[in-house]
Amino acid sequence: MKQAVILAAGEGQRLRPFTVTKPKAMLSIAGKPILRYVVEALAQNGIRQIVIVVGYKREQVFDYMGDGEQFGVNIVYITQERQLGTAHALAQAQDAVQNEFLVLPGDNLIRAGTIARFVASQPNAVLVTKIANQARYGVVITEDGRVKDIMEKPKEAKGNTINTSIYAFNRGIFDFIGANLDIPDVLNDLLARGYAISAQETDGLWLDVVYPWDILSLNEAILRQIPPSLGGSIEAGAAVKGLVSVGTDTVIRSGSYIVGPVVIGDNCEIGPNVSILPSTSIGDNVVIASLSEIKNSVIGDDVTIGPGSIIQDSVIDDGCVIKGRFTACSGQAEVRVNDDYHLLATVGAMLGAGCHLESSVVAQPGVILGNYSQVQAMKMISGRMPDRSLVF
Amino acid sequence: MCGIVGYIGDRQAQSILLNCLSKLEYRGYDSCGIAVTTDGVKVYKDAVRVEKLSKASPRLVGTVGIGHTRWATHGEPSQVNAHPHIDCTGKVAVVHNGIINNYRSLREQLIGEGHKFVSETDTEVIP
Repeated sequence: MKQAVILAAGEGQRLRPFTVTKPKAMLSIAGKPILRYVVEALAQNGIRQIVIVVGYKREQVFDYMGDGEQFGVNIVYITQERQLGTAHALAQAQDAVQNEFLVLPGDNLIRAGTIARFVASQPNAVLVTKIANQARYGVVITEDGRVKDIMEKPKEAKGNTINTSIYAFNRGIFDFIGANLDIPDVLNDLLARGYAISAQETDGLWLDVVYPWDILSLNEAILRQIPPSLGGSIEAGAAVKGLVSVGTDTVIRSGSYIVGPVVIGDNCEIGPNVSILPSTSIGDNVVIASLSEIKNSVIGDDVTIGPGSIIQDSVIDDGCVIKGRFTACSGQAEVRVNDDYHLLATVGAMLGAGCHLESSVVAQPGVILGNYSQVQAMKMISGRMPDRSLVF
Repeated sequence: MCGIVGYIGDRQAQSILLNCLSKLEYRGYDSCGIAVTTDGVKVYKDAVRVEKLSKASPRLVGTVGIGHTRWATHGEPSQVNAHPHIDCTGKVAVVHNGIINNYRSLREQLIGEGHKFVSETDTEVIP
């Protein structure tokens, strides 16, 4: 296989507020967008001709990925104007693909090992994996390495082998897309007409993010494998333990206590006397002022966190400016996404991009604050608040 | 010629301005500077390249800002002559591309009205 098509047009509506400003494939995990992990996995397996189907917020993808040269690949972009489904997305790329190609989702995090054997597969093939909680995915029934049936989100448990949405196709697939909007329907059509689809299983890393709090578990899984590095400076009296990566020109001031796995971006100022506990990712240009504790959280770029803040099991998006004594302790919460309620055992706060919080704001566990919101001093925020909320 | 950029929006201005200035640097690179406003205007500028300014600049918090890379015409390259230029009360910051032909007479007139000048540039008459 020399070419791959990555489907990265999707919005990821259940991941709001984070997907209001970027497509799902550009969510940042341990400092890199999910899409980048997919591209790097392909490059490491020798696949350098890449077609990316984009749609929702595509400028974010163009700006970051460019022509792919930075990542050792050659990227061609195809735009899917309206997000109607995965088969519809693939159909847009018909004129850009060679005879054989892989198809991968841009919003599932994989590593090179996940697809290492699959890249040599003969079309038509689907990559499957075993998963604990299969209710959210398409279950694949296989027999002797061939697919017998694919069922989307079945009500009763039918085994725990699921569809990773990674396929090996040839140009023949376009004849079968027809009116089908999603690829699993296309595959079921193929099976109905007697064509064979082989199934290969992987036990490599394959992670999906559906709800905002999933960002934390992906972050933790990836951070276990980061190489430690030091690009900035660590003052005397600061302690750094375990797997910690510190970006260029970042300063860790005295009295700070960093326990890995932790990734800190470029040009940050941490401390003095700040504790960063596992598993935390911090973006670029972040200031964390003294006497703060950040535990198991994901902090975006350009965030300023004032002194005396406690942030646990939280996700804070780019550009938030938080004055002192912000408290987002973790706890049990029932969080609403669309019409479903999810009971979470330990969760902190989810803050959208560009929020301004005055001092002494307290965030109840499970709060979701929309992008560009403002909160006055000494307010408590809870529940789910839309973008541009004003809390007085 | 010079490079000028402005940003008003929801995101933090500083990193956007510095990123834009590094793309505009071909228009002039003897000095550069940015101004960002939250409570009042904060300016950071120097007679250095944009990359150096990026690393040396303090955190300027604000979602509104302007930036400049300079190709000196009036006044030698220096921190004082770099843009943005502010007025003598520190309330207005200006970045400017081009030249003001009658700046000398404007400058004399403004000095006569009590304004204070710190640079040798033509731009400073604007704020």
